[in-house]
Amino acid sequence: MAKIDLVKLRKTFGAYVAVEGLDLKINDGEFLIMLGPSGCGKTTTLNMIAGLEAASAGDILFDNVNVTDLPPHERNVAMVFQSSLLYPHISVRRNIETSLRHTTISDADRKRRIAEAAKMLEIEPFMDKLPGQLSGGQRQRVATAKAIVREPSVFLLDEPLSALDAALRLSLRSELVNLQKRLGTTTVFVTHDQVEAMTMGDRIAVMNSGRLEQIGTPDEIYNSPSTVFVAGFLGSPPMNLLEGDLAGGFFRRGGLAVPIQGPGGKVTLGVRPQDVTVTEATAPGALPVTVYAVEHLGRESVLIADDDRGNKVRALVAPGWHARVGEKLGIMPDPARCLLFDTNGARIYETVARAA
Amino acid sequence: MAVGSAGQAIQASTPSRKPRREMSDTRFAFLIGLPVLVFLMLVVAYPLGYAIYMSLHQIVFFGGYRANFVGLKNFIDVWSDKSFINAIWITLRFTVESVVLTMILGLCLASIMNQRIRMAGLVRTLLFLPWCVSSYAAGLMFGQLVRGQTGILTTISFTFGGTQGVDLMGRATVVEVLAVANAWLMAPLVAFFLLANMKTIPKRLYDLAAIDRLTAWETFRYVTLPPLQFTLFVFASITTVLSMKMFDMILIMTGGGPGTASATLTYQIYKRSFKDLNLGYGAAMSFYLLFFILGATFLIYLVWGRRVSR
Repeated sequence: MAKIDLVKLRKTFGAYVAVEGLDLKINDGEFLIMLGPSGCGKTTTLNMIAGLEAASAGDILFDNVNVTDLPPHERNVAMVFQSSLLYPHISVRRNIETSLRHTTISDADRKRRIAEAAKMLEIEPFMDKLPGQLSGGQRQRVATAKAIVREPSVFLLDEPLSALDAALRLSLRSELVNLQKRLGTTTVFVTHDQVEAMTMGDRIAVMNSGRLEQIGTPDEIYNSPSTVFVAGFLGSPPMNLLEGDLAGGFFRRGGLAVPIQGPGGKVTLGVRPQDVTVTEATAPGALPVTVYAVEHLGRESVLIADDDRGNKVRALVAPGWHARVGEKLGIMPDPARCLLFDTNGARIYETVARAA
Repeated sequence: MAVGSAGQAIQASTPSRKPRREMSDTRFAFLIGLPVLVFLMLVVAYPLGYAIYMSLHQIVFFGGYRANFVGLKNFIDVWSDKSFINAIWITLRFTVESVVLTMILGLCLASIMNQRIRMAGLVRTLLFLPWCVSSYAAGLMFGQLVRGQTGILTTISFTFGGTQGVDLMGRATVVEVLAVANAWLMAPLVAFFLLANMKTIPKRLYDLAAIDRLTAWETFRYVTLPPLQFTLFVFASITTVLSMKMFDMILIMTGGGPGTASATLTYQIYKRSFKDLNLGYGAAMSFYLLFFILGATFLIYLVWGRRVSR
């Protein structure tokens, strides 16, 4: 168990900057998710925490001890890789044993740890099989067992669920969280899947093009995104982002007028699909849209519509709701639930929603 | 227009043509393999048959060509021939050394090429070149490199004030010199096949090994080596066969000498058949060589190939 501090961490590959000025504190026992699109630097950061890649600048501290220049095996980390990498030609048991190969643990202790891990992850029936004879889910469990037998101070997981089918991913998600909470080991989990991030993490660090966009609890990230990138990246269906002008107590964009007070100028208004109401096309202040599609999700439906500038706007509607494609409608955001972002994508906090 | 005429053409031709049955895969395979089969009959079956005939006869050239049927006499006589027994040992020594050296050298070359190095294309080309050299030329070259009068070691010895030349073509080391030259010729090809295998190893597996604190040797054993097993087995078999029947390079470099120190089975067969003109005896020897080659490859398959071939 350890707390991890990343201080001004930077990684470049030639002229390409993979990670830039990353400051991140990971608390002891925390399940931290690093979320971002591919190429955002999250795996590079994980590799640097593991010691597989050397930082170009900055420091990595485990419990206030600088480990920046230590090789992976001196950091006491365990890592689970994408598609649950195992040594393909040796049995599950020997794969797990390899984790303890170069340790000073006694034989009895070694046997006990392996037995415990096998029991915990329910892999006892296939301890003597080869990785190739296992299903994806079983391999995933074995890779996890291999990681926990070392009783590491940090777990590092690099998209471990991405190669699995949806149903399995769902069950392994809760399994991993449950395991992490029982063991209480500090965990860094890299993913590009926002649902995984929202459901698994104590906190989420959202990264974009080598920089940390925001770090916070899933609730903070979802309800109070600090940048337009975070706002658009999390949530399904995604948040509506509308560019327009703020002036005279109104956000305006074509026919749309939302009563919000704030500093004037060009802004982006963000509003989640559940926070808008669908109105008549002629309703005053509503955004005039043309129905593009209606997706039925069972518990609710999503209206997807084009506004007059060709942007897709989404709205959650009741499950029985119907509209013809091409029908003209209006969309009215709830002013109290609207977020504003400036032209640099940063959140404008000093806004007051007024009654219409 | 085009569609219409095509339709008419089909209509016109269907009634007149019988539905033709498709040829089975086996028949088709036989058909396209036929020219090769005929060719093989001519160049393999006939000489093989003639060799069997010769091995059962005593062939005499002097005083008029005669072939006296002697049954299995040639096959029995070779076992009381000291040079034959000697040749078996030399062949064994040469083959084992060649195979081991070729595999090790191949692995080393492949590992070098698998690194991220500058001018990788040039390095690959250079490393592949030895394979393109004929064994005749390689024989000449290695002969020059190790012979007492011209060799590298002699040069080094003289440079450091020595007065004696160092001759590796002596009785003690001549087989090793041949094996090194043989490995030099074969290793590049082995290396390229191994390299192809190495490229399929996921890079992340090396990261896993690093996290597992595996030493360099363990990483090689657990990560690099397993996917190479099958290729290594195949090339160990191929190198075994090629080494056992290696002849041209030995003839060029050593001529079987000094004395009979490098007289392998192939050299003895050549000597008996074409120098002593004892064709029947030589033919019998060459059948023993064939049996040894078959036996050796089968043995390799039994102890190694069965485990690694899927």
